[in-house]
Amino acid sequence: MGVSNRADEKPVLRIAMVGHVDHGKSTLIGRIRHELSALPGTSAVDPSIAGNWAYVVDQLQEEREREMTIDTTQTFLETPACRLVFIDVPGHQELIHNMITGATRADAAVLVLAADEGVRVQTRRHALLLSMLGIHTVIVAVNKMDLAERSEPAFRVLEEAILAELRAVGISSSATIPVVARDGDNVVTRSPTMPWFTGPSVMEALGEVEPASAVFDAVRLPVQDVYRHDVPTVVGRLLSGTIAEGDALTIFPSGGAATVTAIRRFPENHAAAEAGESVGLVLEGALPERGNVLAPASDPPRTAREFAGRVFWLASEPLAVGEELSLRCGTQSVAARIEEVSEKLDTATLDPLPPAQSLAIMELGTVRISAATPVVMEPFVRLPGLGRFVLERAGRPSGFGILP
Amino acid sequence: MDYLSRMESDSIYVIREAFNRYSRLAMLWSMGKDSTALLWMVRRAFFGRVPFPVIHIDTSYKFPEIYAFRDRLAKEFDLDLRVARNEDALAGGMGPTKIDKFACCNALKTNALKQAIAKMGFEALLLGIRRDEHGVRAKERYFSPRSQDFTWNVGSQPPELWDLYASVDEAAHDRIHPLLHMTELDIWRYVRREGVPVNPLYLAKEGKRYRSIGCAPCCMPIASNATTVDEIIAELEASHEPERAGRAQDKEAAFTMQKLRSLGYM
Ligand SMILES: Nc1nc2c(ncn2[C@@H]2O[C@H](COP(=O)(O)OP(=O)(O)O)[C@@H](O)[C@H]2O)c(=O)[nH]1
Ligand SMILES: [Mg+2]
Repeated sequence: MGVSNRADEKPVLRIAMVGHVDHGKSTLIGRIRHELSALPGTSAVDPSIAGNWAYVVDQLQEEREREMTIDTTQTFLETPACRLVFIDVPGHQELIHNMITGATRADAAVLVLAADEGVRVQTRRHALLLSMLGIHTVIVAVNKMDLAERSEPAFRVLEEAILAELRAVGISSSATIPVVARDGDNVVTRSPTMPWFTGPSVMEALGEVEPASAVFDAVRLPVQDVYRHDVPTVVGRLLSGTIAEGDALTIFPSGGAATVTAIRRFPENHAAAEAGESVGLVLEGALPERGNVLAPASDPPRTAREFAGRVFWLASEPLAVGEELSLRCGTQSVAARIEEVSEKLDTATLDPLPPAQSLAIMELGTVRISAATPVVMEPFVRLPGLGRFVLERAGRPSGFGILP
Repeated sequence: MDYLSRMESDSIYVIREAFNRYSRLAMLWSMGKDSTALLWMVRRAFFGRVPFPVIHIDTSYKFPEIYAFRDRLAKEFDLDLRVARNEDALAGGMGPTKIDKFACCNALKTNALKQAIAKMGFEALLLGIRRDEHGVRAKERYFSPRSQDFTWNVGSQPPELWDLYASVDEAAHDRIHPLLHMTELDIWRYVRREGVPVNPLYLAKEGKRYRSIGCAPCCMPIASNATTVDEIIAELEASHEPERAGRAQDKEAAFTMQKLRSLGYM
């Protein structure tokens, strides 16, 4: 079965559809699913939705009654070249936590902008969040071009406006495409209704996206657990690097030394493990515990009790200086105290906010945090898995941050 | 790493997070392809062991092949198998032919599970559901809190950022869904690669096979000549029929699946 075996090797690209409410994110996903339903293993779109393409993803009763996406959804397609996961998110600001839930699973994004409304608050906020989450592969779909007479001058004005917004958050879009999601114009194939546009369709532009390859290759293994049923076995998912039998590793933050004597796998052990693998290690020497990070002594991670990160706040009760909460990073869970809030940004306008002792919902700021015990981290750009953290208040994720 | 290995690795990560978090954890096993693949991954996560009870919600209307498959694997994998039945409802004559299917699913599956959780005191359950099975399941989280009366408040789920799953919640119990990111084809390719045992109902006999298995009266076979896993994969690659097309309870009325799920259906 040559085809299927090659299918096993196909890269996966996870794409979030972001943008302001009602600009056509769900419609665009539904239309793509409809047009590509001839792809292998893809089920046909339910004909009863009668052209209401958003219904492909908006499947909750409340979503259909209120004509809006409430929670994030994923839908899957397999093209000859790759495996695509489309992640729909709500564009309503009250539902920003659901948007982030979806966006944290994405590698790339399509920013949808309706031609009749142009840049709105969530367009800008979502662009900022993409930048913060490290999603720098962004395609812009200028949707509802039918409401702008499919005209080139109207498109150019919108293109200039959205590219300026993206530049302001440090993103350069790889393509800006005039689209009528409802009719499928420039969605999968290029449309003759906008002959002045010579660029790619949305799907063609997605086909050009190169899945990011990891550059950081030092071993980082956040310890998930230690199983003591038989021979003590350290388990976790290897974030980066490769591990082989005989490797010497250091336990951070404690500093204990250990040697890998076996890489356990059922039914047969492996001689080596690569990044992304959920591994089981038998160690000789010191034994780590959950939350520790295994890394080589020659290339240690950053370990600190106090650090500053860029934090986006999600809870209605603001984050206040002096507050104590729980910090989650990798498999670490540490009591932490908020020491200082600075460089606050209004994420609706990107304007700086006056200094304050707190961070309110949907505000972004630099937050200095001191932890009860040392935290092992890496700059986000170096290793996202140890460069992002969540702040939990009474066990509920209430904000998240990125270590610069 | 090939994509199946990556998916397996991500599922094992979720399974191990759940095992670390809850001391009273169990998994639901329907003997279908998904929960059997999940069981396979659990054994891989714990190096051959299944370190928690495995619950079969037995409506008593299952195919005989399902019971045979269950008993064979329970022995082979050395499972702590618990069979949960809503005996009162069964004694009262509940069945898919008596009243509507919605009430039957709710009584014999959801309520049987409720009783089992209450009796055995589980705080969390691993389930083999996938997003691509149904548009409502597509909205699930990996860790999903459920209230005392079992309801799933789909309109206000807590945020779930990356794989930093919320550390505590006030839920009466949690549902954990390690296979959420896999499609039907992914599961079959995984089954093929790993040699996961396959319930014979999935393989064609006399031109028919089951694509989705559950209770005998409510599952319709599809026309098929696929007698091997390779042939199932080839058939699904060429098919455009939704997976659960043969499931009666999905069809009864609009939003039935959502209603069932929000009442605690698996
Ligand atoms: N005129 C026009 N309307 C569209 C187009 N695409 C979507 N819509 C409509 O815009 C509304 C919002 O679409 P939806 O996909 O739900 O937006 P979302 O909130 O971004 O997901 C719906 O009524 C759609 O039918 C388009 O290309 N042209
Ligand atoms: Mg929507």
